[in-house]
Amino acid sequence: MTSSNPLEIAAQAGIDLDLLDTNLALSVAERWRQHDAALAFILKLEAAKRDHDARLQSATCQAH
Amino acid sequence: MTPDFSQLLARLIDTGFEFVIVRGYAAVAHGSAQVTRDIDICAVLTSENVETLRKALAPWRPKHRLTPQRLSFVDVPSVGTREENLYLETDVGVVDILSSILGVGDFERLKSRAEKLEIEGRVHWLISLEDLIVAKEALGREKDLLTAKELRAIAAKRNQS
Repeated sequence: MTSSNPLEIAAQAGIDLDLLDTNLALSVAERWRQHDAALAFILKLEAAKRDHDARLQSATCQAH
Repeated sequence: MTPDFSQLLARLIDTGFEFVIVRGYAAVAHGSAQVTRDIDICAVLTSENVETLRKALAPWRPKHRLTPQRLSFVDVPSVGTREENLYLETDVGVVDILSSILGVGDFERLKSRAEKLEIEGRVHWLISLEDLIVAKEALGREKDLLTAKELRAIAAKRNQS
């Protein structure tokens, strides 16, 4: 039988309910600050990956 | 481009541009753990409001991100034009300005039920959790439906406390 409890539905969908509790304990300003820091880090990781791939491709071309 | 959504919101508020924060960044404000790469706001895009927005964003080189030539919002649309939606990229992040939200309605409808937040001395209007759930479910995409489940869990937790 399918649950109608939103918490059970969310948990079944893979949502981390403990993480929601952590977020709900913060103010909105703090939630946005943490989000923006996470986004900045993601963008740095993506840029580093792009640089790495470009260097790898360049080294491969020179080897041939 | 390094996003700085708080600076972007502060500038818009300081210039007197009226808007309601919607979609992903609103979900974060309500407690969602997801990460969004843009900011979506709902506003009335009269020609006067478009000019206010243009002045507010001009220092950050706003461009229409869905045009192949990345047309400058400083030049396009011409003065006196009313818009339905604007999809912009700026030096401080991507901002989409929408006249209405699917499943919910226009700015007036959203604002009448929005949450008023004061952050660092500035008043922010945030789409209500109930309206955001309706909007996410109306979009119907897999990622939006997942966010709707997360938001319903947040609503349940709010009701418990």
